Amino acid sequence: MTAYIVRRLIQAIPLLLGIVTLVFVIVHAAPGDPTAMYVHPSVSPEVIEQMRENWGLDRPIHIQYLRWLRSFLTGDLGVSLTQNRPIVSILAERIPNTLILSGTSLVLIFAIGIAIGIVQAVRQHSTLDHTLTLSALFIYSMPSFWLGLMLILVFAHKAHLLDWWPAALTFPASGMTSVDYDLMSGWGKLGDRLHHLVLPSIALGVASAASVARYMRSSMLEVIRQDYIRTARAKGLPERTVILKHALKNALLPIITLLGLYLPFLFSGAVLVEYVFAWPGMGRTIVDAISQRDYPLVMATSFIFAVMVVIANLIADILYAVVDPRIRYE
Amino acid sequence: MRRALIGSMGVALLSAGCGEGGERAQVADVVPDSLRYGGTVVVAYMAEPSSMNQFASVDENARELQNFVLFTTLIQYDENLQPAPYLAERWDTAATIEGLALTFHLRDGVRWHDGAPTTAHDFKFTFDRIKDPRTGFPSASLLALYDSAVVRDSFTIIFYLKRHPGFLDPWRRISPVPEHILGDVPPARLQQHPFGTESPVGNGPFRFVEHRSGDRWVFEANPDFPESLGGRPYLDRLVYRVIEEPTTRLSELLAGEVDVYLSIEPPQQVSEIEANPAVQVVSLPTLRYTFINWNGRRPLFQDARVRRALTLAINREQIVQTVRNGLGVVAKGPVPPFHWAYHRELEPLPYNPDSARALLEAAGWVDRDGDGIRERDVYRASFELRTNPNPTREDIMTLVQADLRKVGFEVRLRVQEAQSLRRDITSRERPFDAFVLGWGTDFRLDDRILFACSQFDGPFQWASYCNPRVDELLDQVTRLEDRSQALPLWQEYQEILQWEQPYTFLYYDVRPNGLRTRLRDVQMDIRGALQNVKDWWVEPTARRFTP
Repeated sequence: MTAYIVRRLIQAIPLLLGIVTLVFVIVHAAPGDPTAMYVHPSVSPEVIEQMRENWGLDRPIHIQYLRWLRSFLTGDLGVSLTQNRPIVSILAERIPNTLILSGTSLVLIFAIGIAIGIVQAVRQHSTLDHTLTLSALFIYSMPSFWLGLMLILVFAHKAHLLDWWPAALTFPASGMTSVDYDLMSGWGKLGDRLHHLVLPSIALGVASAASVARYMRSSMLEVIRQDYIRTARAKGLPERTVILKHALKNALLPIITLLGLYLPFLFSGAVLVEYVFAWPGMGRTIVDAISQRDYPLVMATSFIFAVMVVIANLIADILYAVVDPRIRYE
Repeated sequence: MRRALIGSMGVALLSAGCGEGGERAQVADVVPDSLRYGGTVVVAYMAEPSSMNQFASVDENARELQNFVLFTTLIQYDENLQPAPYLAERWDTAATIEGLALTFHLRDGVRWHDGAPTTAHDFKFTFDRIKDPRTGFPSASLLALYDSAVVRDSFTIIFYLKRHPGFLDPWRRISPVPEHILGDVPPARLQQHPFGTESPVGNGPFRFVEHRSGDRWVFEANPDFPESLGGRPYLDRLVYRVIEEPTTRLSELLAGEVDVYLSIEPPQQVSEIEANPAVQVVSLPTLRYTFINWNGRRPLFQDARVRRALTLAINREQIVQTVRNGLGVVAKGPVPPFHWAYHRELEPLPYNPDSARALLEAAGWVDRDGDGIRERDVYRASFELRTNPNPTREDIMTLVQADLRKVGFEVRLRVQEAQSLRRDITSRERPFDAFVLGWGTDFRLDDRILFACSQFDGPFQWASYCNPRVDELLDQVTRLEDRSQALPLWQEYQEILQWEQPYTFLYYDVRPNGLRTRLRDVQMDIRGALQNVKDWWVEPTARRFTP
């Protein structure tokens, strides 16, 4: 298993190099450059030229690429040209924020999705099943940014205008923490953070949860028709044990492949959700970096995203082996 | 005394601005000065201030934080935009052979937030770094006519400069930087020094607490801010938050999580804010105007009569009313109304499609083939109008397209990504027909880069406009120090531009801001939304809960 993981990681190296090279070419091919935000009537062209020189933008593109690659391979991600800070410290601030958001969503997706899928499979063709199918399709069709705005509208905006609305059901519309976060007690801080996570993680996760429920339902239906389930029932096991102990493990197999598929999806979804909820994460960093042509920051953030996706897929493959003893990686 | 005076002015402003003014004025009167201290105020804006280091920032919101929150400048502008003492107690000037010696006498009680006094050496250091090209200070041109600085003693600095109008203006916006912290940093590394984003040390009414990128800047009251400059600000903390999504900003303001929503955008949100008694809208004049540039190198736009016809055919009042919800003033020319040189008697061109048609006929543009589009020789009155992705400007384009269709123009619309549009319009070839954009002016106005013949190939001469008389006027007004002499020249300039219409000046922008009414004595004006932030206070009973 260890050998397999190592092999997979080594295989990922050329892939990642290919990705960053491609990104480098694309972002440099786009019109404009990072000095554009300084192009301003009071800024003389000489100053702009000086900046281009300071940043090495006056050199041919292949030289820029080799210079960037050299410092990248020696672990130096450089300095953001728009934020004027080392990229490492920007990433150190932003990556955990995105991981918190997508991690929470991921838990939400699978917990809700699996639970609903099981219920639907067990009560197939019941009114409950049809209702859940309908609402799952409804939710699945909603784009995350729109859902986010609707959540804000209802739970943050309108909720404040209604007297009868329970205070526990109003949520903050933006940010990771309250303004007075620093002045709170330890539990207060945790509560504040969770409170801020509710709306964005729902906006980010609920559509995927709906699709996980669909997968779970069909996978469960397939499993509970099999002979060993019939055997389990025949020997008198309670239905609860049959479903949760015998059927669930096998029904989960296809769901685990979804994990590998959903992580990249979550990261890209995070771009929009972070924007709507003013969440200071990686998604907004990369979008801002691209629109301002902050080349080093674009390179670093897309590299991180690529690494996250590669690792997510690897985790999915490993989990696959954990759940299914027939699968062995040699 | 100063507090009391400003306090009552603020109340007058508030009562004019909101319906429940009478009642509120009484509340303000009974809150004694000592109870006004405390509380946190949250300001939200759509973009993040790039840096507290002026050597690295060009954005206006960063400049406001630098000048009004974190640092103390030498001078300030008073409400009539006249220079007033601030960190400099007074100044005097003396003629020299080269031009002028400007001596600032600094107050001796202003300290950096780490305790060191702010002295003339800090200003000398700031000046030297600005003049050093390796620093790459974006606004170095502010001091283009300044030659050198000499420290006479710790609290006296003399600048030698060439005479020019508005020579004091740079000192309202250049903040000093501490020599004892940045003195050893090589100039080329100043922009990327952690001073700007991680550990700024200022000498202003608020000091830096924390910066979380993409999220917030936090400042707290500086208890040592000298009494002579107003003393400790009333607020305990000032939080500047970045919220990009407009709907989120609006709901955070209405929910009370945000106290000040800077630049309400889109303007349709204004009515919703006005409907809520806990918030109010304060609209400010700005330094900006929105315009359509006609590329004078295109045969269609070469004739001033055609450009004038275009302006006459565009219903600018309708644009202001529908697209900006009335937040804007139909523009006459390149000088905004706040400016002393604004031509008050000049009437903006009216909306008059009939005279537009007559002008076009006179210029030889007639519809010969009956397709509704005019022609002249081999040219068709058809062009492409561009803008960057911006809802307001996209709406403007649609209205302009419809208006111009009525007088026989075919307008094709194109929304182009900002940087690629910028590349096109600043390139020497000028590969475009026309575009809608905004332009930011300044208190010290110099339009040569826009309309001077010498700038014909420069990055901002988008109209490719050249008129020797305009050149003469623009050169003279940058030399004349006496405003009463310069005013007639400014007026002539505005009259010529109105006649020749290198741009269609659409409207002077008005900036609406949303405020919680619990926040008092906020005076926003052309100098900036935060210009009197040290006088803001929050009603004691309405403050946020703080454990």
